[in-house]
Amino acid sequence: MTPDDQLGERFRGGEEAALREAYDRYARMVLHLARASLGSVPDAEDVTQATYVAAWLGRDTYDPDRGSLLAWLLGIARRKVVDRLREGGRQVRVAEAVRQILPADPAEPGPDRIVDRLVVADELGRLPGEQRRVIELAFYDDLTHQQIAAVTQLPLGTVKSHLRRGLARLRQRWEVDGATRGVRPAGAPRAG
Amino acid sequence: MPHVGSDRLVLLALGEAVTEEAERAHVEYCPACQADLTALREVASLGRETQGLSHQLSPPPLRLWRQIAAAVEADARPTVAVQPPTRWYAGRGGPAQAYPGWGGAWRRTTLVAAAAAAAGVVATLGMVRALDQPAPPAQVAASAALTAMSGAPGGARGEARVLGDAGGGGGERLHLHLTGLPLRPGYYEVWLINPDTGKMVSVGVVGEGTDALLPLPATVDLREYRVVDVSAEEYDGEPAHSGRSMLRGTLTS
Repeated sequence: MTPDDQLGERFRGGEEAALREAYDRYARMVLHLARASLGSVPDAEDVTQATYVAAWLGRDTYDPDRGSLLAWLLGIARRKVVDRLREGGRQVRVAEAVRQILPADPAEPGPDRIVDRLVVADELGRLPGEQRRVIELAFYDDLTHQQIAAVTQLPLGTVKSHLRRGLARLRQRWEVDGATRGVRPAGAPRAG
Repeated sequence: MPHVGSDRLVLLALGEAVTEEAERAHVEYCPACQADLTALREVASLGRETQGLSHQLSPPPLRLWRQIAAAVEADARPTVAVQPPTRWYAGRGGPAQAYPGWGGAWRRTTLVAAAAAAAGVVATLGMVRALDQPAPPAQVAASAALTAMSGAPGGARGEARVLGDAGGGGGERLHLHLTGLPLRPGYYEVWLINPDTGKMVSVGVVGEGTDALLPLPATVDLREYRVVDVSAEEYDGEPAHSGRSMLRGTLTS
């Protein structure tokens, strides 16, 4: 059981310290999703607050078996973001706020993409140190297997296995949490 | 051709190798390999996009947690005999029509409330006015017993009453009778909290005296903003709730 599972269980059980922990650990991610989607800091803080309150009041409905606490929180925040974007007059305010606070970027990803990134980033942070380093060298520095082996002085076989296992873990988390949100079915099990 | 091996899939997903013709032909007709390759490519692409993400994750301001904590505590207070609010209570337009059982008391209520309005209370909108006497009970539309929160002295308690519209367009008011709150630097502020969303509105400041009459903003629906909260505030220029609730109770009609 990962620490997050325990946190999820405690959260669900109504332990107030778990709410604080969930806030300390994930509020910045919820805030990031809201801010990146709404473009307004006050609206993003509003959504973050509403997300945590709604999550706490609805903690009975969180099922740790169906996805991570982070993904569940982000799912609530995502719905609130969408609701807010739909609110009529609000859009004008959002547009205003975007102009004032953040430069509008047409290439900005939608809320779903941001949720996916946050979930993958969270899982990446949970990988064992060496595995994480190997994955980051592949992702961020675009190094090949051989280059990673040279940089880290790990045997090529170890690098391969880190990449394979690390990617598999990221994929599993992404699929499970994506399935929680109902936007993407978990991948078909691999035959043979 | 057999399935694409797992190490090979990683190479393809990371873009380190290019799909060979035989692989391409196999993947095209093998749902399992197709799903694997698509998913791993997507994960690798998402993984690359997380670069620098941690630097963009700024911590939320302190008051955000305070507001969440305050709202959540509102939920934790036991709410005794919560009844669905009456239409009268909800509707601010025409007070008398839809409230069952109010009967002849309404006229008397109106008169009493009008007297209060005439006393200049309603005119000082946005200000707090200490009263010498508690309001007469007949005009109470909803009330809440306020009990001490963890930060308050044990003897602290209070009562909040929503007084009906006086008919002069002054709207509803919140009467507070508070006892046992310690004298301290700073002041006490009164909030209405919507326990479902955590949103709150400040309805005024309680200064000297233990009784206060606060005009209620007509835009606030008391069906939603039904938790009355008295917080201890500092003169720190921070308009948000301090997170230190002293008294709290849920309005029932």
